[in-house]
Amino acid sequence: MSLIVNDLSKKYGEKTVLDHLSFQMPGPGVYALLGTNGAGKTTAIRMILGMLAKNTGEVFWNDKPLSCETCNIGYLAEERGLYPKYSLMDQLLYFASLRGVTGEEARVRIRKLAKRLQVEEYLYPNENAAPAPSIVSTSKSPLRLGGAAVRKKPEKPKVADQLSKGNQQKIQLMAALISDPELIVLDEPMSGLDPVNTDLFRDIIRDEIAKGKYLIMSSHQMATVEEFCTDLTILDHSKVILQGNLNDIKKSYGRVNLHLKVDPDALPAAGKVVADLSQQMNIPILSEKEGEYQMKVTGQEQAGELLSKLVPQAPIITFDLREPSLHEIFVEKVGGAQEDA
Amino acid sequence: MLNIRKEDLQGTGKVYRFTITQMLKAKANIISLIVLFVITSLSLPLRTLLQDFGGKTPFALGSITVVNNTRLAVTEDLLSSVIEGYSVLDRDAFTLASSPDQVDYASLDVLDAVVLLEEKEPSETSGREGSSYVAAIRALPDNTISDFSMSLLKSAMNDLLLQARIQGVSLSEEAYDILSAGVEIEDSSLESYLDDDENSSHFLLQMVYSVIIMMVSTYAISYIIQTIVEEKSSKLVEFLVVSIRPLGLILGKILAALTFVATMFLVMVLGLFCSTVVSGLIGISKMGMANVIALAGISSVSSAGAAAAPASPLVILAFVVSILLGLITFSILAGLSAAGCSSMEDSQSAMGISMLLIMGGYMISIMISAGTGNDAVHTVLSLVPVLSVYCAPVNFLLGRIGFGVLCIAWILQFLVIAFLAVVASRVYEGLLVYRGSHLSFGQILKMAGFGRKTAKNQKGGDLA
Repeated sequence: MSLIVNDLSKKYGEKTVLDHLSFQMPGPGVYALLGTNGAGKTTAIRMILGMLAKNTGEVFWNDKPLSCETCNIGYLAEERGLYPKYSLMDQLLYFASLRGVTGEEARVRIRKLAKRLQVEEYLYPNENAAPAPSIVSTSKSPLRLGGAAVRKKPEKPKVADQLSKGNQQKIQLMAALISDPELIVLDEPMSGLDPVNTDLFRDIIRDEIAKGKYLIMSSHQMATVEEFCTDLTILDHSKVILQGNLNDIKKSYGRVNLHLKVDPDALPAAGKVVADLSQQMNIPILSEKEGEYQMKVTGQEQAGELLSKLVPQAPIITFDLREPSLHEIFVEKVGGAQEDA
Repeated sequence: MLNIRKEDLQGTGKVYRFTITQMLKAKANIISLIVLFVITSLSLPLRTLLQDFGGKTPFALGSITVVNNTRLAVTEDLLSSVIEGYSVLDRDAFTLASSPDQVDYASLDVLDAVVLLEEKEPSETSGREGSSYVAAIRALPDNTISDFSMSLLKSAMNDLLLQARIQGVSLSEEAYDILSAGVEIEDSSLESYLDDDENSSHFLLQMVYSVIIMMVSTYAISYIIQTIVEEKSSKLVEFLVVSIRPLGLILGKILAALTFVATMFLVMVLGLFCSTVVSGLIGISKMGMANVIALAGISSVSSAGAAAAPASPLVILAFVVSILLGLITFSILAGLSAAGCSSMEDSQSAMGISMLLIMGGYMISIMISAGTGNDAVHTVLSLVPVLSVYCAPVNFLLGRIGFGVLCIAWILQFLVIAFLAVVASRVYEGLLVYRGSHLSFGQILKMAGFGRKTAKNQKGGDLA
């Protein structure tokens, strides 16, 4: 299986909102679409999924045009919602039926996902209630009310309006995954989630990756994207400004992030040594806190030279040379592009 | 031109089933159906019981004493035969007296009225040469006679005097009719002469049919708009259209809304049926259901129908096809307008174009029907799309147009539907993911590539 996005462009009148986007997913994994607000990520996703007419370009899934007939697609839209007044179970069964999952199979999948996403209490409100003794009247005397003799009134099925935003988002993710899709498109999946639920969503994404699914993800949370994605495109003002394999991109930047930590007991003398050397060697210190330094070197050679000069003068605890993070690459690229503009 | 493929309609049935199930589950809709049923069920008995009787029992007559103060032979048998002609009047309520002295004044507390049959001598002022007869009905204070019963009583007394006079001169009824027949001088054109007799009933038929079309269409478009805008405002559309094509999604919703309106209509019909049954059961009527119905005003419908040709299968087909074509037209328009909305607040403005056509068709069909007897005008109205929905079946029923013209009217209306379907197929996709202020129908047409293109409107339902 493979996904090929070829030369997608979109214009509204004279305004270009997506300019010749192309990429491929030859195998399972996560492809990230990154960009600032209004860069064209959601437009790209909508065009890939065939919701928006294309000015140019095509999208293929297994060499056939991508559509709901040729590919089982799961989609968590950026603008997401549920029917506010309909029962959640009815809605999920409906969404499942639209994807061809019906009857008992749909119910089994809903139960499984509900357990995984911890929303069973909303979908099965009466299941966790303690079983109450049934009332059997054996005499003509009126039934005694109170205590255990009163049967608890069954709770009505929950509707979307009764759920918090985070829980609604879980139901929406259930709807996206209910057909066990081959291609999963997640547009800002973590936005608005608390840390606990963010971790829950991450676990789900990990599971889908492990199952060999194709994921396209758009997010502003670089740490999340960096954790999952293998390839990416960064968009800015509708144009592709960086594209490729994440590791290759990072390698191309080289190991330039230096994390240095000197023994705090040796301060302030050790601190003065670090400051003097950075000035001499023209190495900018990005941040400093209680003997910990974040520095930007030009490469491994400069880092080695700094280390050799530091060792005789200051007790070093940590000397860690890293590639730039995705966040740094994104800020540098987008910032640079905006300056050019 | 109309590029609708099979896969465009896949999933329509699932959308239909879900939507109609949710509509029928919604409390507000259940309450509406129950209220509609109750109102229609009670309409006939309540109206019969309460309306236009001034708080009196509708057919109550109490006790009536008829005093014959004339030379005519008004006998018990004659009175009985006349009263029997009025099934609603109770013969036992009438007593006959030959002079005012014979009136049972002791029973005045139960007496409702005294009818004095009198003979007037010719006078110079009246200008008449012979005697004249008077039936003076003297209703007593606090009588229980309703207005309706009073009118029947007047009519019965007139008949009583007539029959007594016929018997008095040994004339046959036929001979009397010939003698008493009046002479009128008419001054009108041949055309209006031919039309006048039927005009009022034809107008009534057109009005009743137009009201039904207007009601059903208005309900249908309001439900269609509500269900589509609800989905758009809940931001679900984007999720749904990866599973189903926009056309299938909207079509499922339109069909569900039409089914719900049909259900409402059936509930109303069922209610009216129960209403007539209930009216009979509570024994309001001694004169039979026909009079009850007449009292409730249903007679207008039946007389309008009776004025027309019998309901042949072809006539039924004419009405059914025309109504369906009209509903489809208004529904697609409503669907298009609703798809151009982003929030529930926009739904009122979305009704604009559909309501304009529905009300325009209604007004024009009524006014023209009342104002002209010209067949050419009726033919033109029957052919104009949208107006034909209102006028064509009625004109066909009344023989103003032939089946050929009716078919042409259907074809023209179908072409309008095809045009709207083309517009819909071009723009639904773009409209469904559109978010912004409500789009006018003109803007939607431009999006579809009709009318003058602007820089902002590109092929394929793009929206700036």
